[in-house]
Amino acid sequence: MIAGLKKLLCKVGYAVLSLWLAFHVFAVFISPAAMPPASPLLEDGYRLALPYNEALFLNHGYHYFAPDPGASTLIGWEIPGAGEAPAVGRFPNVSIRPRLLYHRYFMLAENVWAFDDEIQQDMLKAYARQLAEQFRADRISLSRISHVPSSIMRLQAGGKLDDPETYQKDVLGAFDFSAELDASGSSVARNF
Amino acid sequence: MTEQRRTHPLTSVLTSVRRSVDQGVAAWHRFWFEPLDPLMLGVIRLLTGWMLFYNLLVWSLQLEAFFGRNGLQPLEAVKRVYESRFVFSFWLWIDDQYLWPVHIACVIVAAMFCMGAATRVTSILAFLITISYSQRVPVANFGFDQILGMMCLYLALAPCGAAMSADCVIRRWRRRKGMETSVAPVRFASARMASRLIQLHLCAIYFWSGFSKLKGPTWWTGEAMWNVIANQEYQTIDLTWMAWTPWLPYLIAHVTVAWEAFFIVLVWNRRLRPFVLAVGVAMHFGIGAFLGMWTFGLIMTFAYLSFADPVIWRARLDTMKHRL
Repeated sequence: MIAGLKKLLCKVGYAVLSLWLAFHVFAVFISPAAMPPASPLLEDGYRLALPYNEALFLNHGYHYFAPDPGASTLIGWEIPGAGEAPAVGRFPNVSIRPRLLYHRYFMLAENVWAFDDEIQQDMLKAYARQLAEQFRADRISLSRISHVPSSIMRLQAGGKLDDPETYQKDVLGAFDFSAELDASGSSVARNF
Repeated sequence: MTEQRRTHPLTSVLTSVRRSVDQGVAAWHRFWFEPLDPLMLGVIRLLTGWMLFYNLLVWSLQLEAFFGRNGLQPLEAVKRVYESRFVFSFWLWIDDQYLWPVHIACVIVAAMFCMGAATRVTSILAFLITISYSQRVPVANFGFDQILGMMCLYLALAPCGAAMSADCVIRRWRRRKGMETSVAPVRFASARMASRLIQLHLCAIYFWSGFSKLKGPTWWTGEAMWNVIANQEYQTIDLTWMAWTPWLPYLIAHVTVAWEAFFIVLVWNRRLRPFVLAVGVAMHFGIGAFLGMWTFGLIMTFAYLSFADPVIWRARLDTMKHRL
């Protein structure tokens, strides 16, 4: 009797495990499939697997350098000086070491645009606040800088990768922290 | 004269279907559950654990800046991103005052996981740690985090502490001292399952990475690879000399797309597998050397070890031991 029950449980367990494996593989494959453009069928499949994929951090597109590798994005910052030239900079800064940390800053500049406007504004404000704390400034303005890769022809004609015309700047706005920052100007982010 | 009994056509069809189903079930069982030596999973754990440990050490440099409540990824904003979503990260519930104690505990767990100490527990914790860090800072994520999460997930399901681990050393020592008499199994069905999951996930990654490139005109014109090479924010070594040999970036672009899109088919062919994986290693080392993404490049190649035959590597290991 017990042996029979054990056998039955084993069979049920095996069937459940097999079903899970099939669903897992489906979930892994369907997540990138639903990236636009996608059919309603793919989108439905994606939605079916979404809670599972989110819970296991599998909700990824794997569209590396696709569909087209284009311009990279940097965040420019400017701190107005009292009667002098403003302090300017941008991140990611190649001097950031180790390289993994550089990529984290690179992603801050690159990925923030994928979020909705409200989240974007919160994130940009957070970047500005960190910079303001680092430089003990109460006002800071940010800009979005697109760095367009030079074409082969441009380089053959004598151009360089960092020629000024390869950068396109859009001013994002000014942030005022005079009410928020404490007098100590505690700094936490030093890598911008 | 004997009368030959004729079977009903339906019976013959049913027998044939039954045989096919049985063969399918047997093939499914062999593919997913045929017991496997966990040697390669032990090596993958060692390397992945080292990568997780390194990742956490790097986070230590900017812990408050990235993980603080009012840091670069403000907690409230991140929580809003995950509203009504099934996302787990213990960092979403940890106050700033506990940042460092929790982080140090995570670093210790990562080191234990890497060494294979208390692996049954530390492998599960390593996965939870990996996804918790990644999901707390969604804007700072990139491919490396995705692959690290994937590897830790499958290692948490695998007997990855049954080889190349402190657990093994302790078990051998206990056996020598007579404190343990049971003999650990040398092959596991769960090792096969985890290896298959890594292999299939790699196939999914390359399949979509390759096919998504087909949506972009520059991968067809070959300019895409040049655009990557000429991207100064990625570049660690100047490759702009390729502007005078443009056929080279074009060729690399075409080979990349073809290799990624067909990896899912070619890697299952035993003869082609070493060649397919060698191209992958070259590509990922290239990404590491020229685009500075060593962490991403390396973690991808660690996953390739799931395709290695543990029988061959066990024999090589034993030969090396005898020589020493």
